[in-house]
Amino acid sequence: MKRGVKTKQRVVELVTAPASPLPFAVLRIALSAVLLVQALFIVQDFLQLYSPQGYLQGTLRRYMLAPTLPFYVDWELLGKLLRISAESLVRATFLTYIASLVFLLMGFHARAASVLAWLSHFLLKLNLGYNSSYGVDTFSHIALFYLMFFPMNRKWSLDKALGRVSGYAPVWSRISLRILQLHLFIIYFSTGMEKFAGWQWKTGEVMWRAWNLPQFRVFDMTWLAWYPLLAKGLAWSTLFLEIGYPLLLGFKPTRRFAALGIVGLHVGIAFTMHLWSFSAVMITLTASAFLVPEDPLRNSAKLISFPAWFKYPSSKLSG
Amino acid sequence: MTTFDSLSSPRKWVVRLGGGLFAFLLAGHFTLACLSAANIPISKVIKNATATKLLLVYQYLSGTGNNFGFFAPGVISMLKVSYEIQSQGKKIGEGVITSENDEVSLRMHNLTQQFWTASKKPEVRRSFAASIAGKLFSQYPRAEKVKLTIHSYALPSMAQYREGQRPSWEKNYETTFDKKSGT
Repeated sequence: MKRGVKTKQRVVELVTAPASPLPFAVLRIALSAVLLVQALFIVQDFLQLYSPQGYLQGTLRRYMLAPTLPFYVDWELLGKLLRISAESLVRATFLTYIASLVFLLMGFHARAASVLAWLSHFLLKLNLGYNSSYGVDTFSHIALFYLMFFPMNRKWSLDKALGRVSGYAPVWSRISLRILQLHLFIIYFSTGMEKFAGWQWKTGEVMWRAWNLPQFRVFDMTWLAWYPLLAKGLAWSTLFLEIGYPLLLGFKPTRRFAALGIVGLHVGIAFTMHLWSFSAVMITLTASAFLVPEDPLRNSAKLISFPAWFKYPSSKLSG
Repeated sequence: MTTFDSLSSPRKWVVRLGGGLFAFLLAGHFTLACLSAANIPISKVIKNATATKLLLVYQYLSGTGNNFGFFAPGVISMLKVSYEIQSQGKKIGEGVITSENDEVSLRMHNLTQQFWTASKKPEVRRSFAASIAGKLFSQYPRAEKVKLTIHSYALPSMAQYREGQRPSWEKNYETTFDKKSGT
């Protein structure tokens, strides 16, 4: 066979070989669960953060945000048009957000729920609450955007159980998986490169600062000052995992260990800096894209698979 | 199951066209994601103002407009907004704009970090401070005056710490709002 034809075949196979929709079921369930828990933590304070009677009062929010964002939804004006207070609008959007996440978690009318979850999340966190948003909102927004199109209700959902959808979307599952993986390659590689440009990452000073600024300080980490090599090692390990993400996770033999390395990195961030929801969302993204078996013939009960040599030999178990 | 080979010739063309259009849109989607990840503004690539505006809106809605410079190129210092509430010349309350809840505290912290950007625009800084003071006046109905103080955290480097320097809060900005005089 000619080399060109062979390459074309391999590319077609790479993006269209049948795959299981299981990774997207995991993404849907884990993401909506994390966002629901996060919403429960915010619920007492969300008016302080998002309403015109909160810390950004009246028209100040519009004044600060309108020049920064591609468009800004003016809740005061919208409230006047609909003849309800802006605060009631914010409350209604927050309730819609929570309800849509519950539906998404259960996989009941999941497509409509994903659209509502994406829209309400966008309006609250990235438009109205842009000033108070952080990384978790950016990544949740990307994931919710993709969930609107991905085959996320073909497994472990009420839609499937009630016969509203089939459990079969082999080609679309593969294409969706490649889209998610490619976006993660871009995210990690670019964040790694941006970090690499800063002196704090090269010297390890970044670990010292991140762990000792009152905003993130959980434990007394001042002892790190006497171990600059350890700080440097941790910073460089992070750079290695982030810049190397496309290669390490794109290449099959290193995929699982690199994915577990990324999971470990985020577990570390969660425990040492208390960035719980951020870490949970990042773990969800990498785990669903690279650790959940996508082979359509594989037993879906085995959620995370390890290579054969990693397992305890069955002969020893029986003997 | 229907396969591509079993389709009639016109249907094959429809599938090919659909596939081509999808591939084109997907390529555009990822080009936008790469541009913003690399901090390249669309206006540098596309000169048409309407097309640029539309693409910016698409980037904003789809999440392809983000760059991912978290903790990059490094970790900047942090600001603390503290307040003192006064009534009839006496202090009746004081505190820091934060929360016990990690999730809310992070968001409040991001909000108060706006004082960094606002520091270049005194009128925005004053309005922002007035907005926070307004919130505090509503929380403390007896309050007559609200004093806001913004401190930045000066964290020495590892080497400086080893030499004996210790972190400290440095006053950046202070302002008082008086309910009676409206200033």
